[in-house]
Amino acid sequence: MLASRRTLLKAIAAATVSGAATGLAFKPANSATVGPLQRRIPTTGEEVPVVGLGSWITFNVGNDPVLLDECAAVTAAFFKDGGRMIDSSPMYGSSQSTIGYGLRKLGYPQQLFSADKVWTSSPSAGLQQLEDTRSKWGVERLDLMQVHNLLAWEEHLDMLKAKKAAGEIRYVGVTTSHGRRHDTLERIMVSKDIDFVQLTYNILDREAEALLLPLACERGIGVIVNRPYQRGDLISRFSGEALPPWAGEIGASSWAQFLLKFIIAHPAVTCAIPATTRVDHVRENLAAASGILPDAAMRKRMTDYVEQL
Amino acid sequence: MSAWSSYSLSDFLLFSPRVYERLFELHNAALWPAHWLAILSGFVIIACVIRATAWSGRVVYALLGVAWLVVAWAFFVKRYQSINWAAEYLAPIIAIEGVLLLVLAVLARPPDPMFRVKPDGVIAMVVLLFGVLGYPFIAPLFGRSFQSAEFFALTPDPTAAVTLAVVALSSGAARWLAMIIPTAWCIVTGLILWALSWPDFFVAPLAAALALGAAVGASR
Repeated sequence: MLASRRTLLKAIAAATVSGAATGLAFKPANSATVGPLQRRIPTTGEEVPVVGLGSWITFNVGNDPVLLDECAAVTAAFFKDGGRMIDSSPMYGSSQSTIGYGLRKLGYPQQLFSADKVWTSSPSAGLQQLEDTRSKWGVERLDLMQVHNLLAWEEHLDMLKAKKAAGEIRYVGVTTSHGRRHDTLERIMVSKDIDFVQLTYNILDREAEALLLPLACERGIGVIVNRPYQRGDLISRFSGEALPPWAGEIGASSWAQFLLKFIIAHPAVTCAIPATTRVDHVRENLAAASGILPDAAMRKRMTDYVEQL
Repeated sequence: MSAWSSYSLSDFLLFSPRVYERLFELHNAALWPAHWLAILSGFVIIACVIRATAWSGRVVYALLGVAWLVVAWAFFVKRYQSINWAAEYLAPIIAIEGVLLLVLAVLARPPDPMFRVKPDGVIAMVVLLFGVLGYPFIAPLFGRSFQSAEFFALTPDPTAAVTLAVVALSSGAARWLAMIIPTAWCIVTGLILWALSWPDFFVAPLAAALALGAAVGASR
């Protein structure tokens, strides 16, 4: 059953890359929009901006008052430019508390879409961790709770679904990164009722294109993309290289925008979550979600270009 | 390919170089002027090692034991834990070293650290002097602020270096036990600084290697 599904999904993915008209058709390249592009969460139709804000490393600043204020400034700029989804995890050191600090300072902006995770190998500890997380954010209700890196995922997913049914969270999901455990992720996507998957996808790490992204479309599961810049390594790697002369055709004025536009142009992607410590970078990221996005042919051109660098 | 083989050292790093540097700046600011006391205790250890008396071993090991307990509490619990949840598990290990050194200090026959003019003694003494006097200059020498300097008895790296040097200058089988945790920390801190791309990542592991080499040489 799984094998035949794989064959079908691979065929869909191949057709998508070749630009054929399918259910995964890309947004037209000339579709200029005002503000960050919105994507619907498949299970509810709620719209979220296609660029969010990650917090891995960048928001782990402990109780440093200077760095806390810098993170709050990033958060403020994120909301000001139309951002909504902020993602964190108990694994990220003090990042949850840093987010809470920023939200408190900003008066808890209404547009916040809070995404966090359960990260513990102990099934019985998940509930307390959820409450600790909510407390650190300082919100009454978290929007999305995910099982981090599939750790004790069956037990935690049951707990989160019960919380969703009770109205204490709105969405549930599971996460992985670095291309790990895609086989388990596929099994969960096929067999479980979830709202989101979070996975690594960027211009060089495209393993998810073959199966998981088409599967997400087919199953009506939202996709959150982590490591869009490989934790900054992609930008460092390409920063010495010139952007292709045709980058202007998709409205990319920097490598960050070039790389981000590639990701968010994939129709299965609901939200990419780059992390940053800088206000100018968060604005640059959100600006990438405005205006023109590359179509399938342009995305192929983009991958060909970076692979020959 | 197993999942573990897909991880790199940097995947385990939770914080940025800037955050780690500022952690030491805040740590120093919070503890000032305890630095004078820390330096003084370092001088006392050096003096006791050079001019060994009947009480030298007890004084030196007691000071080292207190230093590790201070580091366990002030650095790992109160400071480092704010950016690294693993500090919660490291702090007890660091405290165990402190307790172990205090136990050695009150033994009927405590270790007797003593400087001897032999190659292994000189090497251990150099590490000891570096741990007390040289370590505070490592941060500015490698491009970081002097405010983030590391001091014996206040931060783990110089405390480990001083401890390993003193233990290398001591005799008795128990000293090997006292070297396990400081050596392990020197390896861990080297890996952390390597992952941070700090050029001085080699300093603590090198100090440990020299002290261990001196200890092995002295035991022959």
